[in-house]
Amino acid sequence: MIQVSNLVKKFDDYNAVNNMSLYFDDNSITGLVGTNGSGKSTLLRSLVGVYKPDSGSIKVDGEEVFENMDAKLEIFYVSDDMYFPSTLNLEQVGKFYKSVYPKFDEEKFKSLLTKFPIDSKKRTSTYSKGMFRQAALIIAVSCCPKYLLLDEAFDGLDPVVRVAVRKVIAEEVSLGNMSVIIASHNLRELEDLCDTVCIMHHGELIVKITSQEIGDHFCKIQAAFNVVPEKERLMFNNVMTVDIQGKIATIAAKCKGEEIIEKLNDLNPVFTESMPMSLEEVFIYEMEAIGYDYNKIIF
Amino acid sequence: MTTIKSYSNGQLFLSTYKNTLYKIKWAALMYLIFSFIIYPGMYMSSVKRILIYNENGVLTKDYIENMFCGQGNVYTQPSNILYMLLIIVVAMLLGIIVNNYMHNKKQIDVYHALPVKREIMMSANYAAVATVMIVPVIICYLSVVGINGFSNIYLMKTGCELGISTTGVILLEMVRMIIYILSFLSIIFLSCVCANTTFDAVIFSVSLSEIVPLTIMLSNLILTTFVKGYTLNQNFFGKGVLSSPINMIFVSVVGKSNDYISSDLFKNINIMTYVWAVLAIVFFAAALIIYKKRKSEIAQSSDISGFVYKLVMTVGVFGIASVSAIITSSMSGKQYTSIMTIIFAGIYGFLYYFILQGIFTRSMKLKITNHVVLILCILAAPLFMVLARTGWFGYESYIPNPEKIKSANIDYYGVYRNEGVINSETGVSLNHKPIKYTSENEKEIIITIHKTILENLHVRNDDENSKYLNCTIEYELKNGKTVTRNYFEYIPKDMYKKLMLLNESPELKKQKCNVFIAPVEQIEDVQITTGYGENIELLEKYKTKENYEMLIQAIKNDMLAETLNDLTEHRGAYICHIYLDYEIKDFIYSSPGYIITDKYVNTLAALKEMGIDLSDKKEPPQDCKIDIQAPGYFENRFIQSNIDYYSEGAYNEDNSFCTVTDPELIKEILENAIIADADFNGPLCYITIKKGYGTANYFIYPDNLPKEVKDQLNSHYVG
Repeated sequence: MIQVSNLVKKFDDYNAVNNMSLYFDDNSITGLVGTNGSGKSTLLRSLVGVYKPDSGSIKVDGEEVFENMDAKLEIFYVSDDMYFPSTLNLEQVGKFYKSVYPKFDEEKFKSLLTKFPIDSKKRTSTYSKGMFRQAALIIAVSCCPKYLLLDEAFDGLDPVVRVAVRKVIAEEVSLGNMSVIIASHNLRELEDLCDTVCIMHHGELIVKITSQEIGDHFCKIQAAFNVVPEKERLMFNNVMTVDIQGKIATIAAKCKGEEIIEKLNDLNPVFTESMPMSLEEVFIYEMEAIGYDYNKIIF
Repeated sequence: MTTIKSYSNGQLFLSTYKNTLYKIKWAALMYLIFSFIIYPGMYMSSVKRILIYNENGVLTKDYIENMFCGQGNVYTQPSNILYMLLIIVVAMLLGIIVNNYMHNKKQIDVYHALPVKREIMMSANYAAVATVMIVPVIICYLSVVGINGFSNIYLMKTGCELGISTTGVILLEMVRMIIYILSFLSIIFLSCVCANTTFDAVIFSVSLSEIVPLTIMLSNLILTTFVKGYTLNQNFFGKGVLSSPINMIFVSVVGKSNDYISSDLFKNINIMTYVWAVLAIVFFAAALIIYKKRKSEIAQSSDISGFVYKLVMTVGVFGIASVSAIITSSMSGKQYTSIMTIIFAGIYGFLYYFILQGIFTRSMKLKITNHVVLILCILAAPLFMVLARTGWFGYESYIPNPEKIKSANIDYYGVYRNEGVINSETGVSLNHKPIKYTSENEKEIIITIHKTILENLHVRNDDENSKYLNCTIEYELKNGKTVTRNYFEYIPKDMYKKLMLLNESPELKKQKCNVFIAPVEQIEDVQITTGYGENIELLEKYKTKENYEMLIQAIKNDMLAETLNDLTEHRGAYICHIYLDYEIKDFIYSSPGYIITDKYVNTLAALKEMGIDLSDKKEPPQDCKIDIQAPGYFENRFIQSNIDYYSEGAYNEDNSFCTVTDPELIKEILENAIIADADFNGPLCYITIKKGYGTANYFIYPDNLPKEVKDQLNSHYVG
């Protein structure tokens, strides 16, 4: 397990990660979502020991990670802009990683090379962005880390390769070999893949929720009225936002749908309907709940 | 926690070492090839030429030795400079390349995420670059040992060899070079750790390498400009210049082998080699410690709050501002120099701060990022100049207590200034060290002169009542220390006359005149030229060591008896010049010539015993004639020949010379002539007597010339 306690990471006066505490379970896929500058990449770099925390601690299986070789051996970080020495081809890169990761699985490496449409004899400097991503993932999985940290894992991948990547990740996790932490803006992708999602904003963890809990704890109810009540009357406990369009009110709430429908019934709606909330909606509603107004950005 | 144990530190070191070597393999190969061509290749070429030309044994050992240079005498020119440049450039390139990841956000994410400790990563990188740098050095030097050995076998058959370059010396040279390279690499690695970008790392590497020599040189420039009498501490300066591995690399190879052996440089190089061996470890250890704590996020950032940024900016601005201020103010006129320089130094400090800040932050915003550094940049140079201008903590006005002075030395040589001192080992040198005076009277004269100089330091007195004095005064104290001051000042003429009293001192004569210094057994011949230009040869039978000893002793006695008055005013009737030819290392050196007057009774007697009677040489011969050359400027008038020369580019002898043939007139002129190279007072006419192939030279004040001659010369003046 990776345990983050009261982590603070500052860049000059800016708190990129602000007193954050959370943990990442073994054999799980966790998604890190957040606005730009929310601290996702900083958190990942801190988890892998690239950044030294200004305060707080990061423990991998009970050991501090910064400059701890045993702990770092269990983590592999694929940054959003992965670097390979430009003069090397992928096979040579593999040899390089094999020289520092004793668990590097050459068989797995060869097998992965067959699964992805990538030429391992070509210099990595000739690779496109998507090929770079694939190469990084092949290397990462071949190193057999216990924790794989992916920053923008699906960025630049075509739909077919995306499926392949998801399959490889899911396979490794299901075999109990690996836990994966993925930072991404692609919420649709994460929704299908992640067991748990952490929403971050301004260096703080807003919410950590499992995919199961999204259904259990978040709901969206549409209610039609002959005479729509005032917005304030619809702001029940746990309601995050209320949107009124004509005679229909859409309510996003942080509780089970039945609880809100029960309260709505007192206001004599023509009909009510509870719908599951997508991760994207959870994210937007959570952001709006803390004052992050998307309308201002979009319009 | 881990199911498979991680690699040991040794395995990781080896893997990283191999990876780094693989990364720089092509650069390493190119470096090896170029090294071999430039150093052993060119050395072999020179040696081959020697072997071809020396088949018949025509080349001398000295000639062969002079073809090479460096402490070990195993470098040819210009390969010595090229090879060292190659070493420095490649060391810099490789050092920067292997540490490049520290200055790149993409790369640092990869390298710092690896399960390799930072100190292992850096040590392996250092070891890889050191291997690439040092293996070719070893190959090159061992090749030179081989070439040297084989060549000497052939050369020795003809009685020659390649000089002092023994195997031991060459190997020592190699070890020293390795130490300098490792030191430079340590500085590069330290710079890389402290820098945010590759560009900054290059700047830091050069700056940190040269920061001590440059600071010493700049401080010296300022102190020389502002502190009157300031003298560089040669030993300190010598070591200061060597406080850079780059300088060490070059200094060891540019001179001739004799330059090192006969100077403090050899000692300093050896001391500083040990120092650099230690510093190489210290700097690398510092790099490791800093690297362990280095924040990854500073890669490519514009944060210049690090210590090295502050140091480089402050010292850099101090240096550039000082030099700029001195250059600017020197164009403003002498009377403004001090104040203007200080003001300009402050202004330049302010401007250069922003320029350097812009370079390091890659932004030309006028926002001040570091107020302390800005204040230091503005104040450092002016403050240093003010301290220097106000006497540098009493340095300027310090004269040691006379009771503590063991000897007072001055490089004033009076009438003997043209005599080159013969060294039985090295030949003749005009650069004589200051004369050492131990007697109280002479010490008192020097202290008085020193006090006079200090009293007149900041007074403008370059008028006709003053005399320019360029001298070094040195006090050797009883506690073993030395106080040295250099002056380029005007002092009152009456004080200068006091200084001239040193001409009477036996200590001056004994330390400056060859009759007291050079061994008699090295005298090869004695030449005599009379006052009327006649050369007299010594008969072969008189050319014995005993005769020479007798003659030298006689000259010594007569010289010691000479007073200042004798030397400058009433020297007596000029009889002849005696030139002593000394044989030193197959070369003949002639002393400038001792002036023998009728007061040199011992010398004349000795010459008489050696078969040369000069008693009849006081009267000018009938066929004698003299040329009198007028001074270029006299009584506010210029001589026509000078005007002709500057206006037409041609020198007209008729407009400066006057020839006298009347024996009576010649006698009258020569009675008033000055025959010594004394310190003269005012413009002089130059008299040349020619008879046969010999010449004799005199000086005479124009006022002392007979009226008809004076009128003739006056006609040449205009204005």
